[in-house]
Amino acid sequence: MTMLALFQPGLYHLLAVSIALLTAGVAVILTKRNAVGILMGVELILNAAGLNFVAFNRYVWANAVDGQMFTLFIIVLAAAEAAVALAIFLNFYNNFDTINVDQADELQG
Amino acid sequence: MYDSLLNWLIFTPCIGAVLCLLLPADKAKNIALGTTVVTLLMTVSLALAFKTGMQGPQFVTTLDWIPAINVQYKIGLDGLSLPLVVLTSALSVLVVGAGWKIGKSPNVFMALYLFLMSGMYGVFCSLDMVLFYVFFEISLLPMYFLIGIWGGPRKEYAAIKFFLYTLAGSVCLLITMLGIYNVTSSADFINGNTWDMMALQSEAVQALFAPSGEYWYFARWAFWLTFIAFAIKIPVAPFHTWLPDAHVEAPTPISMILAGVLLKMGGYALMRITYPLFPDAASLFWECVATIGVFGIIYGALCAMAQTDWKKLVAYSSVSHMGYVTLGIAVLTRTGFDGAYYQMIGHGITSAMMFFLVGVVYERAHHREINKFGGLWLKWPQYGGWSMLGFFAGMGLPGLCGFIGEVMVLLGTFHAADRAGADPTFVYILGSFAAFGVVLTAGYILWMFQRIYMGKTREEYEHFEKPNAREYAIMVTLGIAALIFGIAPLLVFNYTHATFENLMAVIGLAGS
Amino acid sequence: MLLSDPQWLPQLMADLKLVMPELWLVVTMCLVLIVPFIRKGNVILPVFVTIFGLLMALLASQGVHLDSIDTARQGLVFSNSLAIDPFSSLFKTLLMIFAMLVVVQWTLFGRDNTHALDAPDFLCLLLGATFGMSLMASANNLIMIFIATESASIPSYALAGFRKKNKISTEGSLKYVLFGSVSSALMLYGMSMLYGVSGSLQLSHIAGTINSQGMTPLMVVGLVGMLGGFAFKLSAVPMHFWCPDVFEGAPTEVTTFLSVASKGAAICMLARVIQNFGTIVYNEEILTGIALGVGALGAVTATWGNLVALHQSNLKRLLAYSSISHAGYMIMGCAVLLLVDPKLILSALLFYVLVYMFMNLGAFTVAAVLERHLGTLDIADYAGLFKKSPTLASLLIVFMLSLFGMPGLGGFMGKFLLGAGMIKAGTLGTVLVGILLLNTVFSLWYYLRPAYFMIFVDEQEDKTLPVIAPLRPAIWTILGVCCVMLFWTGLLPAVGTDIAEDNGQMIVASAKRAQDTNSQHTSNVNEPIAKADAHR
Repeated sequence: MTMLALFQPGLYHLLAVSIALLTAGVAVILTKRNAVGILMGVELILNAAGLNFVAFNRYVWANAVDGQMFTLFIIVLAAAEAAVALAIFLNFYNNFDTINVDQADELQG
Repeated sequence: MYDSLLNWLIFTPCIGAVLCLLLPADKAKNIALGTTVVTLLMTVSLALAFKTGMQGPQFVTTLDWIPAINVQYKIGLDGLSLPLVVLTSALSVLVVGAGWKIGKSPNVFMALYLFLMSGMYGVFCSLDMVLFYVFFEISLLPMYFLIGIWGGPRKEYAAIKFFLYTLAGSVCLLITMLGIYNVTSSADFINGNTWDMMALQSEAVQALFAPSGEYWYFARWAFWLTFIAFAIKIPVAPFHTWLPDAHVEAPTPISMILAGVLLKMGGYALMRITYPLFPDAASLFWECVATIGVFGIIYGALCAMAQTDWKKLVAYSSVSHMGYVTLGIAVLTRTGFDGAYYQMIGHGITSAMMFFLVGVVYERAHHREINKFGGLWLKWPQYGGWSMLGFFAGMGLPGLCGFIGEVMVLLGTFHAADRAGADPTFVYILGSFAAFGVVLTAGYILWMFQRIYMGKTREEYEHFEKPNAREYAIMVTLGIAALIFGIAPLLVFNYTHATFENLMAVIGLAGS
Repeated sequence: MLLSDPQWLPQLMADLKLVMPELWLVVTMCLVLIVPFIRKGNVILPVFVTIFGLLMALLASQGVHLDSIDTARQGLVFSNSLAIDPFSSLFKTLLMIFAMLVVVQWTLFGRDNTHALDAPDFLCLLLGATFGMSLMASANNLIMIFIATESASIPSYALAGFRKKNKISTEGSLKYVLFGSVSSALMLYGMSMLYGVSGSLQLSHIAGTINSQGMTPLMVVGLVGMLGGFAFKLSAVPMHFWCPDVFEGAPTEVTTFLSVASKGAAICMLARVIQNFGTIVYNEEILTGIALGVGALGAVTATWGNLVALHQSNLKRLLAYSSISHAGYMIMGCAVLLLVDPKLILSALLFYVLVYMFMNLGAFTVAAVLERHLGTLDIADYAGLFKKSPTLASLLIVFMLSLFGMPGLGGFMGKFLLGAGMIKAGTLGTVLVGILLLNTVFSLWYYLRPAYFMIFVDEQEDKTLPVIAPLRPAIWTILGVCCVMLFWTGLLPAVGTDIAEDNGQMIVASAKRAQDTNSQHTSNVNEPIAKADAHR
């Protein structure tokens, strides 16, 4: 019974996953030099936040749907942001023939 | 009618400046001269209408300026400001005369100079702290450009140094002002808070800044901050380094107005703001301030003695002479205050004259090395005579305007021995050092005079043209003024007497 | 829940009435995109439509006063997610005026760089960013803060990279989008923590949670994360790296827009968050802690911006660092909002934004003229410019001096009012004022650099400046308006300060937890403010 309760998904499991996503996202942002890679790291963090909202809504503040609503907005705006970001990456590629962010060093000072 | 005349006095130079910029460049000098003459006439009529027995400010205009924080446009004249306003107007005419031969865009030069005049009038007339601050800082900007454009070889350096130094001082003033604003509003003063200089001298506010008051700690800080703000302007010895640079690089008319009027803003503001607002802090720290003043006298004189550049010598003599102003105020006696004030007026005349005398020669010789001169007297005996008058007035020869101020400051210093809480031994040592400064002054001026004017005429003077009528007119005017103010000090004291009575009462020295 | 209330339709209509400015912007965005189907390749028509839309939005944002907000015209709309109050409506007014001026500036300068076919797209993006910023000024809960920030940022990324063939423009926009998305993701994570702690997205409820639970570590993490997101929009110091690059790379009119509107909106948002905490939290220690944190952010930002600006040689980069330091000053002002009578600070901030708008518009317009006619933004190349075109040079000097804070010009009054508010916050306030003033002294050095080169340094023999062709009257008009406004706000600030003072009020929702939308609607807006007054 106790074993089963341990495997029963609960708030802390979800938070653990969220923290894992956050860590992965930050690690990706810090290590990747490819712009699309960085964007993927950002998406990981966004999803970590979304997971938090849903988890808190389900397990802690269950009498309203605020958190779930927020998650929907996150999904929509993440899509919009990704669209604009990819367009800019494409344009960068056209000008620099690369999407390695280390090549973006014309502006300094 | 006179109330509005005072407003016009402040803004007429602005109008003149705009005209200088808009009308053809060759008219600029005439417009500037006309404007300065008009302001001089205005000043004279204000001085004639001035009621000498009145203690408070006269010709007061009060308007709401920024109602949100009770800032007013409040101007007026009292005994403390009127003589300096007269000095400004009179010198202005001469300065325009001295700048008559400015070659590079004379219209911009004159416009900037007229803006500077507005700033100077504003500083001397404003009775509201914010208004004072605005004029105090606005007067920096034209000066920056006047030195930076028309100056000598290191003009950029001198201009920015002048600006940054005085700006640092203004910032000290601004932070104190904001503090005073905060204090008065938390003290439930009239309308919540006030920036009115007269209201700030009232007993209600004074009680806060007294040792027993709630804001004694603040008052001590504020005293030093405002002192530093104005000490930079005066300039008092450790903060003076901008002055020699600015003077050496500035063109002659600008040196005249800088030494003649702008330095006086510092002394004026000490008497107007620092001492009446924080008298208890002032009497706590008087020994320290007086020592700084004496240090300035001696240090300035020794530096002047060591100079080989003629103009730099005169510049350091300003540091030394303005040290008497600091000392006279610091000792907190009536005689000291009177002497300090008279020293400002006297120095306004003599320093302008000395800089002009240097300028006349520099224009022809194109150098200022004292050791390369000699025998100027034989070349131009008339010029030599007026030079003697000017430099001896600066030296403080009895019968000339430099004497009265210095002597009264020294007397005031010795009087401080009778003041309660003053250590007589310290006072005597202080007084002796200050008196020794007089000897040093005589030393460097006479030595300089000997090297430049005495001896045989040099050959390179052959092609020098004689000083022309315009130059003589300026010299003669200043020389006669030096003479008149040397024998008739009542011309000034008549105006200042009532106001100084009041000032002494505010500072708490009514008896001394 | 909403639909079960018979009053839902009138209430919705009442709410919609209050968001008319935003609605007008959305409608205009659609119209601008339709225009090419009517007149293809025409520039004037979409510009005209845009200006019309902004004008309507401007008119719609008028007439909001606290006393006019009765139960029918509740200031908090859409379940408290937007606060329509005098503060936000004055900011919106300024924003719309500014956006109009930027559109005019773009019409005069930007057309050469942009194909006429792109005009509607550009204007649509500009309107979209304006829409986002206008929401930022009113955002009163976490969802709205997030949506508003993103809808201001996303069009801005595209605007920054609008010169598609230009390498530095592309690079600037790449940096912008990367920094922006990372910081918004982190802000979101912080928000999820706040939600986890308090169970609500309302700022006032989150502040109420501090009262009941104190500053828990999760709360601190959440607030810091959210502040990080704000710091990005404000280009406050750890998140400022994008700012100079984007400003240098982006078309000048976009730079103008971002430097003022984006930062102003972020300041409004920050002020609203802080105002919520200041009104509802009554633990002085926590308030001082927050003030200290925000104040330190502002102080570091201002100082850093000024120090780096000291050795900039490019005019646009110099202005970018100057805008960082100005953002720092405004953040310092926000910091003490918690500790003093908020009205003074709020009106000072509004006045500051008003002045800042005109001085930056002026400075960037001159920069655009110089870039276009002289082909260089290097300040050292402007040697001897004063002789060639004295009016233009004098105008640049006026704008620079106003940015520095010369008395007699608006910039001084802005700083002065801010300082007068800040000094009331005890020791912290005094220290902040000291930092503000010290920074002012520093900044003189670089604000005078253009003046130094244009006036004091003579033109070099080997590189003579090309003659500046006569400028269009419209450009002179923009410059003249900016200059006159600066003198006006500097010499006769009473009108501006009165308007700012009248509008220096924010409404704060009740801290009482209200799950029901209806009860939120009737929540007493004045009660917590009254509490705050009694409290101080």
